[in-house]
Amino acid sequence: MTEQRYRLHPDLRLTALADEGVLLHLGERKYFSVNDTGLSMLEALRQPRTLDELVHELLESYDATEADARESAQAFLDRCLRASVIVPDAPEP
Amino acid sequence: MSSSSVDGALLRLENDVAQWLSNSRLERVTWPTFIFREVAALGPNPDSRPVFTQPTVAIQAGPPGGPVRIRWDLADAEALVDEFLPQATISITPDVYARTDFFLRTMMVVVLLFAMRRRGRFHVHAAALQSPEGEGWLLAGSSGGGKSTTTALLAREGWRVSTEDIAFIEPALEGAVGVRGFRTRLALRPGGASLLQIDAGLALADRGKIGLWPEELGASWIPVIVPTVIMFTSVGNDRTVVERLSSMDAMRGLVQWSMWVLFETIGATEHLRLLSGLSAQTRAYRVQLGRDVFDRPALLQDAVA
Repeated sequence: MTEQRYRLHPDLRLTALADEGVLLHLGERKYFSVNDTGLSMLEALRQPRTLDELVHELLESYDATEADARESAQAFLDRCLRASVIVPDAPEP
Repeated sequence: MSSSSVDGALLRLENDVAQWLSNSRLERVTWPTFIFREVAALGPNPDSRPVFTQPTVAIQAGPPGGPVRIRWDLADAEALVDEFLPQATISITPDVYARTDFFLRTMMVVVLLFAMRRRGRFHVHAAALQSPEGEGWLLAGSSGGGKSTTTALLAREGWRVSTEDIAFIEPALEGAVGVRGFRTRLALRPGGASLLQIDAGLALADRGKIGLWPEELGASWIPVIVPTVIMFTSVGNDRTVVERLSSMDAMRGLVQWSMWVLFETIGATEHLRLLSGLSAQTRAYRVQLGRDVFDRPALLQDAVA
């Protein structure tokens, strides 16, 4: 069984500003901002990513233990899923 | 050739729209195409997208796509802005002819904003001016927030005026973000006109305001400015209060006053990029305007120097 991948919601637009991220959700007509760590994870999620892949990318960019990085990435994915900022990636037919 | 139930009325309306665009001094090559047709009544609305209501208009736009549907509620009229092209088909009922000024100001302006998105020009509800020293300022805020009065005040101090409240952001030279103004009369409330000691101008009876072209205040019009200062204005009491904002706060404010960025996928990435660029290139302030600014207009410039 393959691990679930996630990607940005297709109605989401993302840009960087002063090391932070600005998100617009066009379907929900909502505006969000995220810190630099959130921005780098969302940039990564422009392509489908698994939790493990996100943790790996966090460890490459930030000085953190794997346990901390996993906890942060999991919490971030959960928040983004609740806000419909990301969606589970459907497997190729 | 247009035909209308009221002799020549549709043609006159089309001419009024053309005159309105001409007065705005938007470059003619960027004018959207507006196709008007008279109908006896509007049919039922087949659009199931959520309705966003503004004073006088109801808007349906965005995912899953299709044209933008704008309905006017002062008389029956409906515009369908093409999903991709800067053109709109506008169905009007004869009741509209008696309210042409309202129709231009409250319906056509919304149609224009969506059509101009298809030209890569994105609306910000803001006044745009340039100081005698060449610094571009954007004054954003709600109606009644002091934009027009401040614009008139600065116009009398030799500032150049681009627009009172219909600004379009667009790419400028060297990666900067420019603001193109839609020229209209400055519409001053009686209180603002009184503080400015203005008693001339066109009485805008339906709005209870006085209308003045920038030139009537001794100012000149400027088509495009490159802002380095953004003020989010509101009206206070005696003393003007100026508070510096971060770039992210400026961005939040700009999204609020350029809210169409949240409506449609078309142009959204570019619109967001331009708002972000504008936030990054400017110093932003929250300004509560006090009466003291009328005694000393330079106070605003001093506060942000």
